[in-house]
Amino acid sequence: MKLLEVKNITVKFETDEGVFKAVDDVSFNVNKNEIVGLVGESGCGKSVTALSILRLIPLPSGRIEKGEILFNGKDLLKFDAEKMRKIRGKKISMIFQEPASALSPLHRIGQQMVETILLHKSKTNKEAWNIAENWLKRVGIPDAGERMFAYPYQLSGGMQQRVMIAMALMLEPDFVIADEPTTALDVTIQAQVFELIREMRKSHTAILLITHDMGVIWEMCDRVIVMYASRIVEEGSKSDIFSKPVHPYTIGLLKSIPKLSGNAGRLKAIPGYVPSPYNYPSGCYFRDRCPDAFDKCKNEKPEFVDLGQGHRAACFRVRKNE
Amino acid sequence: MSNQIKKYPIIEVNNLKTWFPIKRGVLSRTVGYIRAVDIAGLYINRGETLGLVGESGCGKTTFGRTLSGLEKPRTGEMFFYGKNILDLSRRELRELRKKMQIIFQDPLSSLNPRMNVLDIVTEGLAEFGKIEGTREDHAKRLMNEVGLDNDAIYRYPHEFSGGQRQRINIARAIALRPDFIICDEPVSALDVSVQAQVINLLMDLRDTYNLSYLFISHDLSVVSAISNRVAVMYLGRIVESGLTGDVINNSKHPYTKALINAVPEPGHYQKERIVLKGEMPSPSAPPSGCMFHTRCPEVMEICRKQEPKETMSGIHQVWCHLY
Repeated sequence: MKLLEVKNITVKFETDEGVFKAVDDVSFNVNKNEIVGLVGESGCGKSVTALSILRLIPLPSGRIEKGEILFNGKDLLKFDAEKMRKIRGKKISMIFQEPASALSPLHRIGQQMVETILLHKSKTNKEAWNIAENWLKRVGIPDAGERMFAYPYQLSGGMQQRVMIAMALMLEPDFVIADEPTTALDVTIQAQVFELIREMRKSHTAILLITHDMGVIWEMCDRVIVMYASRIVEEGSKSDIFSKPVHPYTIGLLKSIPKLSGNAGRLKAIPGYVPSPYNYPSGCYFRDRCPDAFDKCKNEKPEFVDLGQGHRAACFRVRKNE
Repeated sequence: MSNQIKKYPIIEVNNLKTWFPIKRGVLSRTVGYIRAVDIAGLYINRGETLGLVGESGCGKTTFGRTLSGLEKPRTGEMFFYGKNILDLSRRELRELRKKMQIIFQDPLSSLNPRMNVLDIVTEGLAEFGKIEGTREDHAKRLMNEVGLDNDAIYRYPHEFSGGQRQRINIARAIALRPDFIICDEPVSALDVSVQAQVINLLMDLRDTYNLSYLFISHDLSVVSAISNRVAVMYLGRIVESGLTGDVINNSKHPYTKALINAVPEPGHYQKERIVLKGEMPSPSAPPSGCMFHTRCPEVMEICRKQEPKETMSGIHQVWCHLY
């Protein structure tokens, strides 16, 4: 069942240096009870895509130029501010990359959590406090009762991220966007957060997991969307993307990841750099770095080729298997 | 990979302690120490890359900074080509700077935004009177070596992407033809597709100039890609070290095992998962006995009381009571 349908979203930013497209005609779905990974390098538009779902694109420089974002069949882009506020936190919540800057430094953890609960639910202060404390326990914070009185700076990064996760889940939303939830954390703490996210899914919450790390995608996701320079280049199930990727960028990205092994040897790097968003090339944005590029890639934007079972890629070299 | 046993050590460290005092009150009395680094012994051979891996706060960066003279150790010895760095005079230290360089994690903040690339990469050369030909020529040769265009030398750091900036940092580091480079998380700030390029460049330069690296990173996969030997650090101490293949495929210390187990590897199904409980204790109040006993899945009674001694098989060393 489709929970979220993003249709042809284009987001532009106006800056002193000019106008650039951060997200270019991006469409995808997230089904109920599914973890979808959105993977790409910095500046590819993955975070902006997430922010546009929650309508949190910074104004006035950014705007969603076209497209629809259907959540349970209703277009979020048509909602007024008041209606949108009721969606955020309650129906769709977000876990940010840096918990330290996402939490208020001036308020105690408990206060921040209770405020959110009271905003969305008719509970008494006491009831809200109990809900919050219970969630801190559920995400594995020791001495939850005491931690409710702590300020964010008194907690470690891993603990802060647990608080963020508790806040994102305590209103039992249908959909959670997690933007690089473990990037700021150490691997052993990351493993703990993964366990929590797996728990989350047991409560039938759908998750959009945004990351630059293919390892995280492999570990957590059912379906993968690969973005490069503001566009989606490939989408498929986890096994499609990891065992039979077809877009040269996906293939290159997977090959360039160093393997955990004792054989030191040269890595298979993708040549060149990500183009500047002010200065995208014509045609396919990956063509300058692509080993398989030919004339057509220069002149035309590649459309998606459907490879069946939800596997699609935007590349002229990709052929449908008949 | 010829020389992994301690044969031609370019760097040798003994009983090195870098502790930072914690000061309190109006008289700023020292009330305790943050025990950032406490390394019993470590060496790096000529032409060898030693990977130093550990989580944030384990002391790996402080160790790199101590080695390069940016931090003063409390006690200990650090030998560079057999000479104790801590005994050197200022003039001798200045000479040593030519032979030892450092590459930092953040490629932008480590480049002066008001200097163009020409000045950045030739500043050290000019200081030591080592410029060959004109300054421009020398800078262009360095650009070639790190895979940048010749006209890059007239541009400023902000005009480059992260990967290109790190190439500039590398050009500056190799300009004086050092023997030893401390690489402190050199690819952590870079995009995945660019990381591999920079690692390859570091490998090529190592082979061309017989460089030795101390390669510091939190990322075990990156470390394993470039290092001949790996040392795993936890709370200021080295808990395991050995040939990269041994440490990765035949790890002994429960912490190393957990660290490897926690690395998500695409295409690689894990049989069972070790999730460590809790977090690294504060280095200002380290636990008694073994540093890792508060989180260790295999903790025994002795671990709480006694510090583990080193156990060795070949050059594979481990500090753990299990062995």
